[in-house]
Amino acid sequence: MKRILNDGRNTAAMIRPAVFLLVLVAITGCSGIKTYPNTMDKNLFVDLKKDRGVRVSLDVYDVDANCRAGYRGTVQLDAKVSEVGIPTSKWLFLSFNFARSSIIFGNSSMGHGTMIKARRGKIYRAKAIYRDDMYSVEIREADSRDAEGREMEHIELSECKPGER
Amino acid sequence: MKKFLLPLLLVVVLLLSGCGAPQTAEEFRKVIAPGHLMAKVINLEVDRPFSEVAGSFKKMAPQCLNKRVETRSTTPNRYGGATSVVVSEYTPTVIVGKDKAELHVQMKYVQGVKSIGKEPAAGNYLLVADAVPAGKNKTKVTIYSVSVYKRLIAAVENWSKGDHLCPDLTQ
Repeated sequence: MKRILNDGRNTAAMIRPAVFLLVLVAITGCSGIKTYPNTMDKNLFVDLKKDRGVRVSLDVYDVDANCRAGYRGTVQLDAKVSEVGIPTSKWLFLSFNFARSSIIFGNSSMGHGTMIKARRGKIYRAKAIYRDDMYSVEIREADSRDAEGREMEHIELSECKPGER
Repeated sequence: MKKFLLPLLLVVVLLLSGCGAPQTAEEFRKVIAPGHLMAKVINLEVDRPFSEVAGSFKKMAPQCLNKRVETRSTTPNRYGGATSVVVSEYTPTVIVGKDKAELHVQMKYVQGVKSIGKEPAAGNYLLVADAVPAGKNKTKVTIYSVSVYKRLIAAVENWSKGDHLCPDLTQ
């Protein structure tokens, strides 16, 4: 085994199939992350302020009457303001994830999630900030994009009680 | 690297205490006395009523600190790399009385690190903060912690002042 690994060509021969498999996994979506089908009318506007090197994404989950969360998909929040269409009149769990990579600490990701029941005709403005290893997420409900609106209550998934939602 | 840093901190806390890890918030306050190695005691007075500061503790602590944090690190080796996973659970407790609000933050390893000595059920104390009224619209806040938890300390300072930022517990 040692001999093979010390041989550059054989190592490359071993690495090539591994890389191929990795690419295949990425293409087929076997990583577990799937793109959120962002096809509904846009009613969630995410205003993002972040440090360089921080990747921000939003995971969208359905929450059923038994408080089970079903993963719908992930939206990569690359733009300064991202527009997302979320279903109304049903409970969702929105999880904002702040991910970083560093040589010393490797990959890390911090999630901040809340349950939300969007109402038809309302718009939701989320302000997501990640600065100097500190973050915040605030979601407001308003009648229009310019209106001040009201701050939505933060509800953890663990606060969900079966049959009450 | 971080995998070793946190257990090292716990050892420091153990050494500070002289025998075992503090089992209560009161024991932790005594261990984190000014002058001790890595101990951090911050006194601040904020221009906010006591009820607002207590309200910030009650609102922000569960949101930001009621977390299960998983960190993965890969050490390269000749077979590609060995990945180790450390899972820790943070538990905040807020106690609000008429003239005093307390915030306790505890952390327990649930995977990847074996705890040394006897630890409280919710894990070792990382931080204790006390807020007391200091006249009209002023509140005195005392934070007891270990200097390495600077983001946690900064977050509690921010909450005391009315800012609503959570610390990234993975950093």
